[in-house]
Amino acid sequence: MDTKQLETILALFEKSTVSEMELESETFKLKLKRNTEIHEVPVKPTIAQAPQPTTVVDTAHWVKAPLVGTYYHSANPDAKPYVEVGQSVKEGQVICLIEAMKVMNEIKADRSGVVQEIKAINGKMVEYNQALVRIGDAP
Amino acid sequence: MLEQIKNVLVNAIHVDADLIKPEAKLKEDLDIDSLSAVELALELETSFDIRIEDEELLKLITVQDVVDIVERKKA
Amino acid sequence: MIQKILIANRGEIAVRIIRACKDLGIQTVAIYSTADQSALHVQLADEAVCVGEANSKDSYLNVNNILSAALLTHADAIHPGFGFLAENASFARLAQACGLIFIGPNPEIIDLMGNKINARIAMHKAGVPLIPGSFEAIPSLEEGLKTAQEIGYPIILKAAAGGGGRGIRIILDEVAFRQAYPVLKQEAKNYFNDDALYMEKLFTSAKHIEVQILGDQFGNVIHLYERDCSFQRRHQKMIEEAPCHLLNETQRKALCEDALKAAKAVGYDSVGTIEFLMDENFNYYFMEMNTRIQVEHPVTEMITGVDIVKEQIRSADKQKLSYQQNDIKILGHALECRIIAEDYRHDFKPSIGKISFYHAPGGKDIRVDSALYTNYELSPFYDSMMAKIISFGPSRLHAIKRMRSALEETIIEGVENNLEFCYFTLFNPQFVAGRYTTDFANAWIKELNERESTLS
Repeated sequence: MDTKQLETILALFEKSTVSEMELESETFKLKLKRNTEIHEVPVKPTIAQAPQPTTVVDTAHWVKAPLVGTYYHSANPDAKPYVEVGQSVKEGQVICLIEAMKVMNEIKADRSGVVQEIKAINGKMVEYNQALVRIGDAP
Repeated sequence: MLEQIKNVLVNAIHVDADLIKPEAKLKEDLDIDSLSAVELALELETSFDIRIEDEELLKLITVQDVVDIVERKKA
Repeated sequence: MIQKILIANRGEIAVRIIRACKDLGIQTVAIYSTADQSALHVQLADEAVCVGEANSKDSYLNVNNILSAALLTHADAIHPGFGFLAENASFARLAQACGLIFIGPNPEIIDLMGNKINARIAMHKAGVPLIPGSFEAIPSLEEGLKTAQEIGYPIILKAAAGGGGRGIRIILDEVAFRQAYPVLKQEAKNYFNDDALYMEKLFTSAKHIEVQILGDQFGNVIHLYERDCSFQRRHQKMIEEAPCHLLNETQRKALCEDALKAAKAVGYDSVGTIEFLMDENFNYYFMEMNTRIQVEHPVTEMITGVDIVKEQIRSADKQKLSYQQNDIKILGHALECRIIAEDYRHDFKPSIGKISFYHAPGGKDIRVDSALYTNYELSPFYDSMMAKIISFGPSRLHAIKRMRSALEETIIEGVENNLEFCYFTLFNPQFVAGRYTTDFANAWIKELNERESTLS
């Protein structure tokens, strides 16, 4: 299963209304689920040691809330948000605030890259470990 | 009092009611082993609000002995 | 009026508190660690907030995250359950400072009773009989030796800030005292960061009796009679009963009245328990007061019909107690077995893993408080209690017989447990007679293991 085949299957799945799809062959198993990451579960080949398929590892990575608090995308209500989708960020750059017990905690990007998605909602509570901002590779 | 003792033997220790006579032996006739004897003493303590010490329990051979000890303790 | 409660706990007590809240029409917010994602209490609560990693100090003891969760979900009150932050006075004060109601006594009482030396002084002043022992922290090794001499060995050395079976050493003679004193001082510093130690006469074999107290914020205090918690393995309770079969009416009255005297002396305004030790001549001595709901509270609920957690919530909500003292009657006898993931054959080493199959017993007068379900993954981060099986009957023998059949029916596959051990105990004549004391369980475990090794 090379990346080209993977893309065609992906395109098919995108267009279809199927919410979940599983595809299995001897060397690998592909599980697609609507609006979540694509799970590619490499199955250990039983017979000969077939070469492991080189998969496109998505290095996108979610910055998660390190504490419980209120998520703010900007320093204060009138300021511009720290980051927006598509914007590139450097490791250590402040990407949002979480207020907890009246203390404003700056949350920093723990890797460089491009902001691909912002899931947390401004002014709303976030729980520990909740996914906030997804940072992927530059296109 | 025999009636009350009979009640306890039947309901709590599941002894066959017909076998219960004053002279019946707890162990040999009513098949009450050492654990059931402790269970009997426990139920008697609750029902009559009395205390039966271990040594006293050992001396109880027949149903009449049980009647006597309860009456003595209740007096 | 309390309309939403955050439950700062997990496992069966969190489930039990959620049920009381549902009865009262109160919304519930559960907290959980990353390891407790699929725990039962998270599923049953109206809302749930993850507060940290699996390790307790990052999650169930994480005061900031817990308070933030309570404030951000607009909870009115926090119920601490038992263990964790339940007897942490500074947590109670912090919660109150945030405008939250802490479901428990006021923090001053928690502080007073949390320090066992101050508690002893307060009880002494209230005229409650005390275990012979020291009234202030032992100033030095030499002073300690002198006091121990007066009281007479064996003694028990305890950390003033200790509790829950920790920070305790049994001292048989002077040599042992010299050895243990510095070690325990260090241990107390590490665990409770308070190295004050005190000592008490050691009762090698005594009954551990505790009286359940219910108070409100209007000065009303009543008792719900006593529990017998003498079946303990290394200071950890395993089987509890209510009432104590040995006490007659006059002894029971005296004990419960002294417990009330103690509670009123400190102005107790919530649910609590006063623990006593009782010798073979029925002399009882104050040991300590627990300012929280206790694991074994269900046996008292079964014999009195009172929902203690509900009363605790009502009391915190500034409502009057719904019972007068003479409303409280003993309706029968109740027994509780704590089912833990430990087996007597392996020295009760906690086992973890997946519960491949779980079947709980049921029927009239059988209650099961648990957070277990089939396929639940028992994690190593928290204590090993999986379920509490409670039986009720018109007499102690009935309660014991019902518990026997309940244990026979119970199935927990996947992890080791003490079902079998509890079952054997219910056929032990010394246990059935009801006169067992605090040293019985350890001896019984030894006997079982020896009997088994000769068989195999």
